[in-house]
Amino acid sequence: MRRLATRPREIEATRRPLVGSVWVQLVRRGDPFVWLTGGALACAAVMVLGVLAIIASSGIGAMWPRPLTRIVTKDGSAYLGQIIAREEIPSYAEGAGGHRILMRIGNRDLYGVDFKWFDEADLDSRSRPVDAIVMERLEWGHFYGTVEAVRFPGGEATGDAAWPRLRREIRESRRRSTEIRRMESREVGRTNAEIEKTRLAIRRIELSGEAATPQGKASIEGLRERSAEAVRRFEALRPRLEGLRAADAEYRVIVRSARGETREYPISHIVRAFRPNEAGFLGLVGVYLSRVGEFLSADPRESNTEGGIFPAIFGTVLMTLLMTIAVVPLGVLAALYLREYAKQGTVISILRIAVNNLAGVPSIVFGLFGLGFFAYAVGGSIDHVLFPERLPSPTFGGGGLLWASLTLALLTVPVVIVATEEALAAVPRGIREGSIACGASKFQTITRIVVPSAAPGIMTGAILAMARGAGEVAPLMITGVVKLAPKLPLDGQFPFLHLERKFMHLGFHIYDVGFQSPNVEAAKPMVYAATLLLIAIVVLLNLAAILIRNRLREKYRTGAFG
Amino acid sequence: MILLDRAAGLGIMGGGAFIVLAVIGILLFVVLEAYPLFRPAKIWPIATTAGLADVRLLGVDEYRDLAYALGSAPSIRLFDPVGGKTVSDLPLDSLAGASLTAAAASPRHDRLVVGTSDGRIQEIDLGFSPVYHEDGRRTTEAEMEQGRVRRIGEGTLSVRRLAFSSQDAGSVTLAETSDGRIYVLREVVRTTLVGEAVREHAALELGGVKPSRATALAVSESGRAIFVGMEDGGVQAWSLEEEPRFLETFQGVEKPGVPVTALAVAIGGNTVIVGGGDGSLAGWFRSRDPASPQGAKRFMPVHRIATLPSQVVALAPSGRDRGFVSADGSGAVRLHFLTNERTLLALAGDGAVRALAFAPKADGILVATESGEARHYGLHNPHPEISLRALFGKIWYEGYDRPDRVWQSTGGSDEFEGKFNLVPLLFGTIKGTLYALLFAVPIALLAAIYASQFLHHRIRNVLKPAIEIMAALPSVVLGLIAGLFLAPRLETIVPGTIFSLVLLPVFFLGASILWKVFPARWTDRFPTGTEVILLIPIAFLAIWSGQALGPLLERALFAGDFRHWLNGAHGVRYDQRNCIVVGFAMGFAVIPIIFTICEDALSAVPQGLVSGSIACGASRWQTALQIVLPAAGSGIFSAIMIGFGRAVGETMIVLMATGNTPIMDWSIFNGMRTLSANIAVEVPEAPYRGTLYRVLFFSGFLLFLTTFIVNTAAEVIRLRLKRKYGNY
Repeated sequence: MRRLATRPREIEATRRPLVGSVWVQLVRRGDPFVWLTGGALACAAVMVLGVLAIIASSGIGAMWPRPLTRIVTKDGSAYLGQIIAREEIPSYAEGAGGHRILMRIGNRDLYGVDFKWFDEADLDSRSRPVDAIVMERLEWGHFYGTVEAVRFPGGEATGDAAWPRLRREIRESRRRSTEIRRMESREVGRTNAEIEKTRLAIRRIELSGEAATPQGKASIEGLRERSAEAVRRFEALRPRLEGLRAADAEYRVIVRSARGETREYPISHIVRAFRPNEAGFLGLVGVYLSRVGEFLSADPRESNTEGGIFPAIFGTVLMTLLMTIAVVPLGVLAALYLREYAKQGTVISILRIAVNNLAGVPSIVFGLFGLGFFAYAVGGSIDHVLFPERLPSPTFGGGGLLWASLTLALLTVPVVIVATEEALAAVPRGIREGSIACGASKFQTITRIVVPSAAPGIMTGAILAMARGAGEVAPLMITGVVKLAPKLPLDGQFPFLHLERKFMHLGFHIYDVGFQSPNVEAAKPMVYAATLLLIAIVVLLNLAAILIRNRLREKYRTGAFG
Repeated sequence: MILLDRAAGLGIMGGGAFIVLAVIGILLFVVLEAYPLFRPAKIWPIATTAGLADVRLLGVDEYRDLAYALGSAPSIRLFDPVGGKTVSDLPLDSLAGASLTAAAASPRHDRLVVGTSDGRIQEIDLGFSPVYHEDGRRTTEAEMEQGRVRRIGEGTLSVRRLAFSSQDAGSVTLAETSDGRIYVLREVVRTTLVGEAVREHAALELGGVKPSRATALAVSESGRAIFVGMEDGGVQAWSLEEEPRFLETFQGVEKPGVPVTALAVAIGGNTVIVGGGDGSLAGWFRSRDPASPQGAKRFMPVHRIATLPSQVVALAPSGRDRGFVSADGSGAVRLHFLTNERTLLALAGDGAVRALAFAPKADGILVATESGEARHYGLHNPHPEISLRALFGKIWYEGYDRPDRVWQSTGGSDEFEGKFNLVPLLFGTIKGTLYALLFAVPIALLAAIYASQFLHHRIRNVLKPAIEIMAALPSVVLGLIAGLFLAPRLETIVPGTIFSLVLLPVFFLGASILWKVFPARWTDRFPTGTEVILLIPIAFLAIWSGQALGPLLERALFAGDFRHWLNGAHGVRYDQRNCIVVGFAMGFAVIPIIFTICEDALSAVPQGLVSGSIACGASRWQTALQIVLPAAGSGIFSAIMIGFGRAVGETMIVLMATGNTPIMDWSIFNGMRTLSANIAVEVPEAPYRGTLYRVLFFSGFLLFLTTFIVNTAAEVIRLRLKRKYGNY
């Protein structure tokens, strides 16, 4: 009020009647400026919509099978592929003014490259042959061409019979190779684990200085025998495996590329084959769903540019869960201390400001702390005490699941503290006093009355922390996330949950495949699909938090004691 | 029950306080990891070995278990530098009868050359091999292999001075005889077709040096550069390929007439350290001469390191880094570092120094004195290259034409010197942040004014969650959109995009004026506070028009292609991942933060003020601009500061949307590298507790401090604002 009184110029200005030209009126009433501010809000909304739309369309469309186009250039060479992009040729380049198209021509084993630009002016003809097939392979990316023949034990299918036969054989082959792989991974995994375990046990005996004693010698001998036994067991299995593989290798397909080269591939190397130009909408939907299924459930292949991202999803979820397990008790304890137990004063306000501001400290600094303190200092000591036989290769002394989760727990603890404090503050005084009046102690009041009433708020904090943690990448990439982890951090080998293992993460996967991959163009669909998934997870978590928060507000608005 | 309650209370108190303090302990840890960078070098005496008279050369093995000294007798005396006892003598049989007059060793101290009073020169290989005993002890044994004896001159003159370097494929010895002639002796090891090693020897005289004028000799480790220091302070530089080739003479001791008293070549072989009779110490290397119009290269006094109180007697360069040890006439020993020109420590003199040795791992110093003692010092000096000047100032690195601020932490060779200047990274951080704020602040602030003052509450319920989702988008997603989607597309539509940005406000203003012309029948359907619904399509329209008109504009103003024009007419390089992209993506990340806090601050302005203003006849815009905005000013300021804090620390967006090159250029069309991205890129490769690791922690500390100060200030301002209007 004081401000108004001491600034008569403003009052002067406003008191003058709104007369004068339309322009003066406009400026004084300020409607254009209001519209300008509204425009800024509109811009922000457009940006959000735009980003979400880009990701949604690129992510959802990423797996959709595109039609195959056959082009013949003026010099007579033919290519078959999917048209990815079309753009105007820049003015300084040759052929300015025209357009050029980017085609995924596949067949990397034949052409050396997956993608090729063509000037439209150089093209003689374009067509969409119905018998063109897309063959997704375990290596060398896609093959585009036509089926010539399918060979199987005791026969060959050619001509029109080849395509249906190929489809059937691929189904069969997938089943067989799943079986082989399961057997392999189980047996090989068990054998390797056994050999490694005995090696470490021997090393441990050696380090303890008991290797020279008769007892030590005997146990080393025993361990060696066990290791040899494991190898023998595996060797005994090998003929069967090799037999299966040899039988599998007899199923082969002969295909012809657009340039006319024929190639023969084992069917076991084919993941999926279809005719996009013939399939029709439902057929394409089938291919799409099958791709989405693979994306969500399979391991990556071809240096992460194809296959699935299951390990990354798994790693993200597991890491976020571990983080939540660590962060919620920590945050709740700290909030209880700050709100219920500490004497409110200057020190506590300073502490509170400090904790709040930790949320603003760059996440990479937390990453540095996690690497230097958890992994190197704490993990290094653990290695020296518990796993001396594995040195110098680190067990806990490098980045890993546990350290990454703890780092993120530290990063997100302010979120939980703030949310919990708010929730505790919202618990009406009447309830507490009622509890105390009934003879409950302070601790009883807190555990039985206050914390349960504040539970939705605590949960909001936990969910917000999860959302933040799931989307955070920078601290993870220096505390244990890798582009390709050989094993999941959770498996059938004792102790089942391997906290020291490096793991894969959706966010890092996006960064790595989109920016560090040797073949970014081929990886784009994967990147966008992974992004869509990550955003879906984060936005869903946030929406859940918002919903819970709103419900909480409603509850206390009506339920407050006065 | 009461006990349980007490215990629980204490537990929560203790646990809670511990968590809060532990969280704050992060800062402490980061500081502690960075602190050793700035700790001074430490030196401590280990042992003194007596009875080593007339020492000409000192050397020590890698582990400093076994040292050797050469006197005038033709033998190598091995001694234990830790126990202070002589161990044994290795007699040089083939030189029996003569006395040694000169000796020199390779930087690893395991190959040496000796010269005698009758002009004989012999190379000696000393193999040190550590032996590990059962009880964990380690001792080192030496094994000697004598090379061929060679003669220089007529065989009657003694060898006065030697300099030596050895490589896998041979060695280079520089010898001065007592008549002042200088000879280059080379040994080349060739492998024949059958795989046999054949040693070829050659000797030739270095012409051009007047007799008895040379006062010091030096050969680089590679054997390719030869330096001869002279009586008048000049230094002759020669390069040695097949034949020695004279390069130039430079005034190594800048005061005329003062002789060069010591010479040494630093690691890398390009920098020569010149010690003068007046105590001057300087490092020289070839660099572009600013005085020469053609930019010819000549030796420049790049590093003027120190002026010692008396003449420089001996120099010993490190085999690890660009550090070296000097001894002056009073016997004082000092440790210097070339690149940052610092004298790291000094040991007071105690008797004249005869020889110096710098341990191969740069962790110890041996000093032989006139009194026949060899003193062994331990040295702890892990980060000699770091000083405030190295981190923030301009430094003249080897191979550069002028002092500069450079960040280049790793290089191809072992001799590579890490360049840890943080200024390019600070610059990049500030540049990225400024462009981001330039983009974010107007949008966020204006949007917050609208949302708090004018927005219809029903639309607010839809738009608020949208902004909250904007805040929740992971930065890796924004980085992806910026780097993979926006950057390649923006490349072709720069003028159109800039044009769109100009058109947006024009369209918004235009729309408001058009609105007045529309019949009230239509306009009444959109009461105040719902304009934003109309404005969203208008925003799309503006962006589309900008893009549609962009190519026309490009043709008219920029000769058809903007990037070409930019490069041709202004010499500005256009990077695909540049500040427009970063500004957009980081702005996107910052907008929701600034918006939310601004909106809170603006909404917190008491309704009484607003009503009062309206009652006085002010329009809603006048009220917003002249009453609400000033009242919420400090809140808005704190919002911008928190946005700044967020942008400073943002990592993934910068990593993905810039080229990550540490250049210093304000241009919006270039990229940069920020502190945070730098940490993310480099720390996985940094050796634990090495210099790079600690420098990265130091930069992390800077980030922490910046954001913490900014955020705390913002928080304090916000709280004050809250208190101010709390009683309305």
